[in-house]
Order: sequence, then structure tokens, then C-alpha cells
Amino acid sequence: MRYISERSTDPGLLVLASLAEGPKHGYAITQDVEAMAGVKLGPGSLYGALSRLEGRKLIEALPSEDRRRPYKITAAGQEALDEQLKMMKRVADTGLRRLRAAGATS
Amino acid sequence: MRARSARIALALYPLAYRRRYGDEMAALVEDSGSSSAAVLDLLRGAARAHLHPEPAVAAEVAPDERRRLGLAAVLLCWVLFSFAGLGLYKTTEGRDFEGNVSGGGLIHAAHVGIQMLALVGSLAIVLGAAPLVLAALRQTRERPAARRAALLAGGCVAAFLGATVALVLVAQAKLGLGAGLEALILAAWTLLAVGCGVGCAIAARRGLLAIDVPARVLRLATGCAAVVALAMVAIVALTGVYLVALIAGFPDLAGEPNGPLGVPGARASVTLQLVAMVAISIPAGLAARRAVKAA
Repeated sequence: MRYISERSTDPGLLVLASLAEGPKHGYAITQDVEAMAGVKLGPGSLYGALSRLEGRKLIEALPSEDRRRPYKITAAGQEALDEQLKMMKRVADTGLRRLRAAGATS
Repeated sequence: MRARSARIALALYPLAYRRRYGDEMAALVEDSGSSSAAVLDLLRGAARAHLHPEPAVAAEVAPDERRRLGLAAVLLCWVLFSFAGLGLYKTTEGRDFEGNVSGGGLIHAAHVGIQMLALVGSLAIVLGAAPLVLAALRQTRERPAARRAALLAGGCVAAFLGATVALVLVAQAKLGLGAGLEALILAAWTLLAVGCGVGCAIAARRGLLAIDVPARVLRLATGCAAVVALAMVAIVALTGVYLVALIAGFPDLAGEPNGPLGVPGARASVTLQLVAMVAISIPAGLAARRAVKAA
């Protein structure tokens, strides 16, 4: 349970999940992540994740006229997010099924 | 206050990160507020960015700039290292120490070796920095950033000299201030000297990024930075030898309250200085390596 909770607050995953909806700038990502996962991403964590994701070409920066530069998820990013969420879903489904089974036998 | 802390935390990020994300991060901090948690998060992020830089972000800084930043970092490390060395000097002075250390053996060899290496490191700093300082001074008219850097460095040197002259005058006047007050004055002078040294290193960094430097001067400075970093590592090793020889050969001397301000024992004091030296020599070695690799 604890392990799944830690995985689900991985900043990179949360940022990808937020950008899956459409391009957003830093502040909009933190607001969305807070509403989606109940987690507040600090500026250092957010930009650490953005730099890693950008380095792996999972997201890309869009041109901007002011200081709030938006980012969008790339095709590779969508694929990586899809793969990771499916894996998490498999783990969550299996874990929940086993918990229910254990609850029924105890 | 927190907004200022957040600005300082942002300034601690590597230059490449500040160039790439600095404006965006500042805008985010303005939008979301600079709570203590946000400042801590920024500090953690800055440390991570230094320890595990993203190659794509690091490319924001050109190899030549990386070399200059590496040189400035080595200078800053040498300034800080010198104060740890000053602590070692203060701990190992006094008739008891000098009498035992001059008796020969491993402790004597380590002590002489540390002094020789400190001299080599200092000479390498002067040799590497002098042509850069001259180049910066020649360009102060046409480059405002170089002028500001020169003014900062000059101010720091003037403050250091002023404080040192005041300290010497107080010492010579024999005012009978009492040991406690004298120790406080010495501690204040040390803090001011550290601040002036750090100020000079910051000025050197800003100046280095602002001026044109001939390639041969940069090559010389890079070679000198490598010598400085090696001298620091060798001093760390010899300080370790000194500490072991002190504890094993002179247990009474090791227990004497000979540390700075007469508070810690010699053993504890040298151990603390050794830890500080190790902590400073690691980034110095990495910075020198970065400068050499970028050459």
C-alpha cells in the first residue's frame, strides 16, 4: 500500500499525467496535480521533474511571450505514461483482488 | 523575508538551470508564494541539480563558460580551505606543539608537508589569477559587469585590510580587554575575513564570465586550478597523517584545549578541520576536473 502510494507521488509521473490533458505552464501543473492527487509539488521538485522529462524528450517546451512557459507531452511521453499507468493498474488490481481474497478467508 | 530566501535558493541553482528555467521558476514562486516548504524544496532541487545535472540542461552553458565557472569554483574552495588551514595552524601553534613537532618523525614530516603544499597552492592561485585580474582591470571601462566585479573585489580586499589593521592595532595597544572579548574580536575578524574571501571569489566568477580572455591565459589558469585541487587533496591526506601521529604519539598534547578560541581539544579541532577540508576538497576536485575537461 505504502509502495503504491510513493509511486503515485512520483513528480515525473504526476507531471506527465497533468500534461496528458493539454499544455500547461508550471503554476497550472502544480494546481492540477494538487487537485488530481492531493499533493503539492514544490518549485524545485516540479522543475527537477520537468528538466528530466524534457531531457528524455517525454515533454517539450512551447514558445511563450512571458515568463510562464507552457509544456506539452510528446508522443513518447504519452507512450511512457500509458505504459506506466497500465503497470500501476495491474499492480493495483492484483493487490486489491488479493486483499479481498484474504479478507474473505480470514 | 521568505521571498528573499526563495530568491537566494534560486540563485544557488547551477547557471545552466538558471538560464533555462530561472525566469519560469521565479514566476512560479511569485504565483504560488514562497512558503518555508517551497524554499526547502528549492534548496533540495538546487543540490540535486548540482549533483545530478541533466545533460540537456548543462548544454545551456558553453564549454568555455564551464571552464571559467570551474576556475571560479576552485578559487572559492581554496578560500574556504584556507580558513580550515588557518584553524589547523592555530591549533598546532604554541611552545608545546612546536617543541614536539620539531622533534622529527611522522608528525614533523606531515606538518612540513602541509606547509609546503599550502605554499604551492597559494603560488598556483597567484600565478593563475594574476593574468585574469589584469585582463579584467583592462576591460573595466568597456564592460560594466567587469567594472562591478572589480569594485566588489576591491571593496572586499579593502574591508579585509581595514579589519586586519584594526585587529593589529587592538593587539598592539594592549588594552587589557580580557580573554573572552579578545576571542570574540578574533572570531569577528575571522568571519569578516571569510566573507571578504567569498566576496572576492564571487567577484572573480562574475568577472570571469564578463571578460575576454586569451586562450593561453585560460590554459594557464586551468593548469593552476588542477595544481590547487591536487594540493588540497594532498593536504587532506597529510592532515590525516598528522592527526593519527598526534593521537598515537602525543596523547597528552592531543587532549590539550589548543583549538580555536581555546574551546575544543587539539584532537577534536584537527578532526573538525580535516572533515571541513574533505568536504571542501571534493567540490574543488570536481570543479577542476570540469575545467580541465572543458578545455
